[in-house]
Amino acid sequence: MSFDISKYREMFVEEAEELFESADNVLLEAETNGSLTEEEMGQLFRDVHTLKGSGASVELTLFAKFTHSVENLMDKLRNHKIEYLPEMAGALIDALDIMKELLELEVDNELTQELFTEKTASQLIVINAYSEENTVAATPVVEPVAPKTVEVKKIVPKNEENDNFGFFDDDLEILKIKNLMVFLQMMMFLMIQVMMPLDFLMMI
Amino acid sequence: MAKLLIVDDSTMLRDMLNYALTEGGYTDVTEAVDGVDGLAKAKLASYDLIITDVNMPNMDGLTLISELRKVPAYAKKPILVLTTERSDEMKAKGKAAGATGWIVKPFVPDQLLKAVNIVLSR
Repeated sequence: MSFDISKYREMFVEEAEELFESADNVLLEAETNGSLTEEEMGQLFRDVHTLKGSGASVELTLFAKFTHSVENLMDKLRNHKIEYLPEMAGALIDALDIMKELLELEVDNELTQELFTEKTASQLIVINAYSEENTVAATPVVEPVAPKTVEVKKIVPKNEENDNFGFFDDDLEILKIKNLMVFLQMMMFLMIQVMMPLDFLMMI
Repeated sequence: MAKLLIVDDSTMLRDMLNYALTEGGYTDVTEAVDGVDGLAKAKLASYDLIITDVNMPNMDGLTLISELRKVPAYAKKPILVLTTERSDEMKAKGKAAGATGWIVKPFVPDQLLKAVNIVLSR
């Protein structure tokens, strides 16, 4: 079973407009006020978290990758692992603008790895500098840099498929393992079925 | 036929979940838009399984699970959390709230159905 990704991408683009609007409104107010309330931090995190999760669900891998970095910064802000600085609002508004551009390009299948790196490299340096712990009071100094190649990892690596769900109950975990064993036995049975005729042919 | 409740603030993700579950034979699926809506709907009917997102407005998924565990009808019913994180910290939070297990987002339909089949087979 698979999803009609184009249908869900259309739904996501509509949903993303509302989420961007919500996040932009919070940040514009923060830029004016020079502060962010707890509620606003929570709202920002949820908006960006949903953008990342839903984007990844419709296979917008590069959009989700950049959004994950922005989400990481917002997560640290809401958990008070870093302090909010007034100049962060501008940086986050810029990041949202990049996310909008990436979304449009990736939906149109026009976002290459090179273009992604070109669009995001400088802003990633700013975001990562703000995200680093123990740099609470330091404003990151951004030097112009040549775009670096950023390795892209799939959101759901194939070898982690068996870790896509799990249980806190041991009995259920045993059922999960039994389920996997049955699947492996079926695969081995099918492989043997395929190999058998070849063996016969070799004997002849 | 098992009755399922899915709770997620994203219309698109609810639609994806509903589609995958329906294709997998679970046709009695109700949707809720956040924890408050999920709790209200759960109290109005008896669901065999609840699948909930974590980060939602008004009431998040972990609070929803804690509230549901206080309702006698849901004290032992399976509740699965949808999470974008595989981290031990997230799993510990889910377990502490009373979740039965977790499903990682973005989810693979077949893996979602495996998880659902397992919890409902017990």
